[in-house]
Amino acid sequence: MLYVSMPLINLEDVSKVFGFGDATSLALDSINLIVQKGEFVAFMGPSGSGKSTLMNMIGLLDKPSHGSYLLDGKSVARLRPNQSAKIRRDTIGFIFQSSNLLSRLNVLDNVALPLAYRGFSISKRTKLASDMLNRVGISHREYFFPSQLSGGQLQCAAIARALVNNPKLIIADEPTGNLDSIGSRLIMELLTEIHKMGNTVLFVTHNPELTRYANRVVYMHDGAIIHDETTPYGRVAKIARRSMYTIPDKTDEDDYAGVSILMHAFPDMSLSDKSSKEPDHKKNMKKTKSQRKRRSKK
Amino acid sequence: MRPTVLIGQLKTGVEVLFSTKWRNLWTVLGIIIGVSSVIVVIAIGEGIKQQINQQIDIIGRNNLVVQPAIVNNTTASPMAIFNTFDHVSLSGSLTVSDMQVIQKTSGVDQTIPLSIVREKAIGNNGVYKNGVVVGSMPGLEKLLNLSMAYGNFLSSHSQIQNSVILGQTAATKMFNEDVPLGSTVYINNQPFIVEGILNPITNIPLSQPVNFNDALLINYNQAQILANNSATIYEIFVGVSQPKQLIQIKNLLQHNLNVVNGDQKIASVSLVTQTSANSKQILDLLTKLIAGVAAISLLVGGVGIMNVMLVSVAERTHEIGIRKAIGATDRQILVQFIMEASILSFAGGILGILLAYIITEGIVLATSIKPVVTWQVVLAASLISILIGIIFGSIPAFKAARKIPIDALRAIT
Repeated sequence: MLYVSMPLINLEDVSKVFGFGDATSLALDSINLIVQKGEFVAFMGPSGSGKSTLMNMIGLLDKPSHGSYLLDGKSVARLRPNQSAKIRRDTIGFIFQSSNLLSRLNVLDNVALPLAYRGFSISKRTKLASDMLNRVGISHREYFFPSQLSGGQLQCAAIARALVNNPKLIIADEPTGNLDSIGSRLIMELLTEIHKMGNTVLFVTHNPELTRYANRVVYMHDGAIIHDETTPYGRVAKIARRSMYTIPDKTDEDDYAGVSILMHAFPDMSLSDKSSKEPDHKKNMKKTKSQRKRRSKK
Repeated sequence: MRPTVLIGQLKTGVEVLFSTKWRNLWTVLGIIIGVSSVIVVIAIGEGIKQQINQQIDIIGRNNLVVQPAIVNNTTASPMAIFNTFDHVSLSGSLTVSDMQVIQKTSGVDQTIPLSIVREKAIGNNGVYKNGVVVGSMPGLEKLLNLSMAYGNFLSSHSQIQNSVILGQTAATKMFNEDVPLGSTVYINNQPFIVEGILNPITNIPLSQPVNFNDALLINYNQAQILANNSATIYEIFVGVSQPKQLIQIKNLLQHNLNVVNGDQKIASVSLVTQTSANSKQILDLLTKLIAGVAAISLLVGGVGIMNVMLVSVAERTHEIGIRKAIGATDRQILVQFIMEASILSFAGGILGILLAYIITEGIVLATSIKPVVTWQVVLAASLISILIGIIFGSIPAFKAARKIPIDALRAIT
């Protein structure tokens, strides 16, 4: 991986703790992550592995409990609400699983909303929003209300809204989660196009196929990054491929322990790399090793 | 914050207002009632005040009024405002000797008494229960600006001594004819011939406890004959020949009257402007009091708005989350919700003003009071309603603005 002097995202030892006392749960566990400008990163991992929490953290919707976060060289881990709102407005575009459009506004007004908060005049923001809707291919639905659109169209509108401010960073939390395969492809191709224009795109997915679009795949488990892989475009990432093609051989024991099928697919190397850095995950690692031994016995 | 953002928020506010219009209508009911009642009360007070002023103009600022000393208080009683006079509500009265003293005082040009004869008046339709027989003199019509619908007013040159002038209501109620000129009215079994009919009087004659629409006006001398020289004189208007000496004549008159009444102030002489000052003061106080009570309903309305805005914030938590996620600052959210609350209460204010307009029109039709709605009151009502929105909307708005974006986004809609 080619490291440029200033990465767009630089997380150091970032942790997020929810709850307190006995009910404490560790959503993110000492995450270290560097994302360069122009990367197209896919985040994978089972539910509850902390992907969304990480996305919210990177997108400044949430604050880390510990650690430092440099966004474009500026420390943003301890900003006041208004400051982070302005950074969200100017440099980050969000795409959620459910499109999260405001039902009261029509598509055009929804897309123009971030511009409104920036103080653009009505005519200017209408023009920009209209152009953006044209780019995502739903300009014929400008004056429709969200309830009148299909899932794919909604997601296109949400992408248009995320892009209308021309943000440096696009964060998509399961953008294709509610879509069928054709819809997913459409959205991912749209994201690829955006990426080609020089934007940095982070997206969360459960679908291994979609790692084809990314040039880097990060795999998370239990709040930690346990695998980080650079892949050529058009190829399914190795780790994803394993999870796709490995025949599930989960035992009742695994079920009881809550171990995902995907856990069996982890390559040894990535685990050993991580284990040296992050002693907290020895437990996880041991579990997978024992499972592997069991498999080899079979 | 830039104006374009505010315009957008204004638009959203109006949209939200109409999206839950029924709920909002019930919410602003308190504001509607509050605003309309404050406006109506102030309008009635203002109207009555103007009527008093008109009356002063009519009676003339250069005239004096002699009244029984206690009457000053009775006429200025709160009930007087609502025109529900007892026709004879006087506890004291003036006497014939008072009248004579006044006539003899130097500087006095004209003396017009108003006396009441406590006798039944019988027309074609039997006893007229609301009727009040008033004895007075020619010249009263000029003094009180009474105009004739038909016939003539009492005249000293009239050939008919026992003539009667009817008030508009009395004329309609006592006879079946349209114009009962020449008909006979029996007062204490003596016949009186209707010589004139007055036009309706819209002014409330606050300084006299008689509604002239119900009055039967006869000559003062006739009244004294009817009552065996004991007709109650409740008021004497005194015209002054030299207006510059008004105060001196007033003091002299008061002195002379006190001497006649054994050094007791039984009759009180006052300037026309003075007699109404009392009633105006009490009227002012009363208007303020009622307006204050009505203002409490505005407060209650404000609390209602606060409640509905709290509900609105709770319902729209997810929306707040989305808005914050795409870059709305706390202040923008705050302003948005305060604006929504003020639009809501302002709409209530406008509806209240409309309701007040309808009510005052109704009062004009139903009573002789003419409420006066001034633009200042309307402007103040609008501003106060907006202010209520800002004050009571700020708590929910702060709550909305302080929401943590990620928690708000997770909220289920």
